[in-house]
Amino acid sequence: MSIMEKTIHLIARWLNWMAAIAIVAVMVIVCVNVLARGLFGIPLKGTVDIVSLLGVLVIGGAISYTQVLKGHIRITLLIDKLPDPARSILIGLVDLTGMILFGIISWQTVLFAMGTYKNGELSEVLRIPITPFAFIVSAGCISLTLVLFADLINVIRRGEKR
Amino acid sequence: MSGEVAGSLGIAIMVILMILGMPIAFTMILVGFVGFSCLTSLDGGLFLLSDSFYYQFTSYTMLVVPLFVFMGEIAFHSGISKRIYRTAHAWLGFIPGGLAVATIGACAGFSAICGSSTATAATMGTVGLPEMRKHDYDPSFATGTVAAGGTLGILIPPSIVLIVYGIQTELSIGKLFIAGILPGVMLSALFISIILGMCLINPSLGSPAPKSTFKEKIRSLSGTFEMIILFFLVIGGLLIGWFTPTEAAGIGAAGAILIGLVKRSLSWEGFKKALLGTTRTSSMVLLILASAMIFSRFLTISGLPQSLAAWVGGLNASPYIVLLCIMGIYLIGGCVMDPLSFLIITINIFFPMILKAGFDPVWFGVIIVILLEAGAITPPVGINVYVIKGIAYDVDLHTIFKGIFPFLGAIILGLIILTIFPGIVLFLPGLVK
Repeated sequence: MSIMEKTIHLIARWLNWMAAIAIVAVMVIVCVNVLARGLFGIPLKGTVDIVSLLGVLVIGGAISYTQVLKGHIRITLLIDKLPDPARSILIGLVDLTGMILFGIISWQTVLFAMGTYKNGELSEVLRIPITPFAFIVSAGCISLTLVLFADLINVIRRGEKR
Repeated sequence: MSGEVAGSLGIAIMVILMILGMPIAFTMILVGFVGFSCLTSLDGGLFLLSDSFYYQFTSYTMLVVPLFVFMGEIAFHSGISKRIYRTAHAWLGFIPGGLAVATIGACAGFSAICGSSTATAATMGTVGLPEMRKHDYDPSFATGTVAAGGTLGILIPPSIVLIVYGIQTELSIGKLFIAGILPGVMLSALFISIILGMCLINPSLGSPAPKSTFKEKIRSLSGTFEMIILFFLVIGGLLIGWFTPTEAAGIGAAGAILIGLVKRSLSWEGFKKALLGTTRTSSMVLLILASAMIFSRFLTISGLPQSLAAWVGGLNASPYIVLLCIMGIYLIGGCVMDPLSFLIITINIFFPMILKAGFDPVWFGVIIVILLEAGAITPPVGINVYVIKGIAYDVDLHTIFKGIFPFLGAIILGLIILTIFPGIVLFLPGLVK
């Protein structure tokens, strides 16, 4: 594995741990809110706000590492049956398309995040600036683009070896 | 190009890309984005991408998915499955084919805390299969039982498939959950009847295990009692209106952790593995959901689902013919691709038709789940079968599929019963306001 690929995977793994921590945080906040409401009749203000924003960390954080693990569901019936040069070319093309697609999405989500900064957009109840969270969506998409790039390089390199 | 033509073309291209091996989520985003841009403008398409990604990722409702997945993962990694199996074994093991019956019982029990069919099959496979092999059960019969039993995971609440169906059709997740209970029990009973019948005809399939004493039976309950309480707390609280689905899922996950800690069965390693399993499954499901939103925006402006529903309505065909066709499509779809993804892709097309044909949407949700279950154990992509193959690596796929056949019959019989008596599905939800 090249240094570049290792770095890309490392970033994805760190983002994934962030997602894991966010899941635990969401669970704790939700439970505290239910208990506070049930036992003392005082719901925590803005739970929905905080939990929704943490949702960004959960999904944005985990999508790229899931690609590292090849966890995004795909149909492999055809790919499994193809003989090798064709198979590698097909996998490479699929990775390339995915990379371009997520490249565009990354670019658009960065623009979106910059827009929220310019407009000073805030969350509904607690008035938290949403810009950092919008950038986390971009970070997740950029990381996924990089993982797809590393996958593509891998396919090409294996092809060259043969 | 008219909207309907663009919509049909989009679906065709999506299917081709999927067959070529592109991840399902990616194909839906790509086709949704390109199609939407063609029908509106490129700026509109680009805006759809960023807007959908941000707002789908910050959806409070969507977080119900990772939290319920987390609950199931914790249950898996803290050995709750072993205790449930032990209980079922102690109570049911002595009858002919008893270990298979116990496996189905344990699957049903584990389904009550886990919302995924593959996780249930994997869990019960690791616990139930070695026991059945030890008692010389027929390999085909044993593996078929576990694969089929696993499908109960998505019918008995909590159920990830019903959650996704609820999110997409804006139906109450609580009502869908409760609607799955009676059909789940019925299907378990059908599976058990099949096992008993097969073992009566051919006793060599599975010999009874030694009978356990009454004391052993009572003692075995200590492992499952907490889970029953957790199930009633989570599902009951959701129905009474104590909490929202997201809160119910959070309480369920926290409760499962608490039980694991008190019983000293959840290690730090197990906890970390559960978290990693959760991020993987949830990001896969949630990305598909987000991409389905992009795809369905394209489909909606193409007008295809509405036209199709109107066309079917204009056919004057019996609603049951429409239903039969849709059922056929789901059965075939579930065979060739991941059941959940298939549901997400197709629901926006078929849901309007079903409403137009006058079927109850909650009832239809349960029917879809059962159809997808059947798909999950049918070749070529029967996902549960691959899970079982991963555990029982010395049994070949052909043998497992052969073992599944009788259970498939039970599922189809179940579907017929539920279509003739929809009350079995709708009775419990009808009791809730």
